[in-house]
Amino acid sequence: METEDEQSPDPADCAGWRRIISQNRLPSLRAEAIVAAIQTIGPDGDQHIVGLLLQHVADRITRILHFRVDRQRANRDEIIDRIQFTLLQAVLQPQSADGKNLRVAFRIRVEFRALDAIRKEDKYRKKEPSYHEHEALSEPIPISPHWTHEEQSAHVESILRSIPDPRKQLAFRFFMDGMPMKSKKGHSISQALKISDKTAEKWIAEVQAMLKLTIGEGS
Amino acid sequence: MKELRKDADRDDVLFSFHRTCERPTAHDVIVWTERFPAFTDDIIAHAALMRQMSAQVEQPSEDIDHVLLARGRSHALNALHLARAENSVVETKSEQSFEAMMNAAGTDIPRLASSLKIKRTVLAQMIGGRMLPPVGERLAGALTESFKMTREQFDSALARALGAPKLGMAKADAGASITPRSYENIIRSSGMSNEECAYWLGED
Repeated sequence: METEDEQSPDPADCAGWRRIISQNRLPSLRAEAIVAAIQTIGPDGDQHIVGLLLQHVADRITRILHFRVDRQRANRDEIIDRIQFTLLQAVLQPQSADGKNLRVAFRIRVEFRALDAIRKEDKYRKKEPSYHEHEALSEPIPISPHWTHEEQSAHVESILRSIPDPRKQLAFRFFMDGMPMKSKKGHSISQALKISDKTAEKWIAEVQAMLKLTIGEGS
Repeated sequence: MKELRKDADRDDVLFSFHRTCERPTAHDVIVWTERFPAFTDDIIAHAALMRQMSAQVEQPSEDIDHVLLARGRSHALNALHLARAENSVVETKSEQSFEAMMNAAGTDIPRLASSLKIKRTVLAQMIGGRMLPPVGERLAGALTESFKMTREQFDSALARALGAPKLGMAKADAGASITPRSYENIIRSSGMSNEECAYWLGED
């Protein structure tokens, strides 16, 4: 969560940025302002300042990716590595699409790149679900009656995440939002996911059965 | 936020979707897929991942792998090094003479003239600093294309050549000369056919 709202120096104010760095105040500034400073000073500007600012931006990108890219993914390190380098290069290219958008909405751009990399990987491996997915599906852990509400929600979430088809996961999330599976008048899950009413009903029933298997057995 | 055009590209559409709908609902998905039907699959796939993401509870105190952080910082230094190296290549190229460009490309005046189908003497005059600007668009375009350089780099090399003109070949009836002439004058006196001259002068 970005709560940084301290006044940033002008992007071209090297003395101001040097002061911020020496007072260890970079974490309290908006990432967008730091990116703008790097792009204004440029890679050939003050080497010490640009180097430290870029390393700070690298830390922020890493923290977002660490949190957003699932730890169970077999190729997690590879995905994180690729996005880190691509985005850091873009920070130094003010005219590139990533370079511009990191200046405008830093966290959302990093998250967008992370999810898009995952999306492309999943598309590529569509017919080869990972070992993790098989394992999670075959070994549901029964819910305990002593769990708190948060623990139960986390458990439901872990069941949802174990479903290999992301559209089926999404269908059930929409179902939990209160969206009808089908509708002749208004919006529905089938309309949103471009599937037949029958498929929407089948998917919801499947996930409900998985949840009953774990929640029902333990409570 | 800027209004997206109907023909916006995939990245722009998906990034705007992320900015507008942090936790997309079925209604959001219907609206966006109707607006950008070409990206329906991507919008649905991103919506699924975004909902998965929004269901995660962030642990601010959670430790981050130090190896991961160190790799990120190392990427930062590498990216910086690459950017500086690229800038230095661009600067070097912008200061390069025509001779240095020909050397780098492994060519020379005869070969270059042959590939461009122009008389050697035209190139020799230009490279020797004996052609006054402006150089015809056809020749300037052909050379920037051949050497993969910008128009600014071409102009810079031309200025450099003019600043240090080299003696032309002495002819039987005249001594060596360094008097610069116009592009048109050089083309018309090069011995090329009328059609060839018209082509290089953009009169065809």
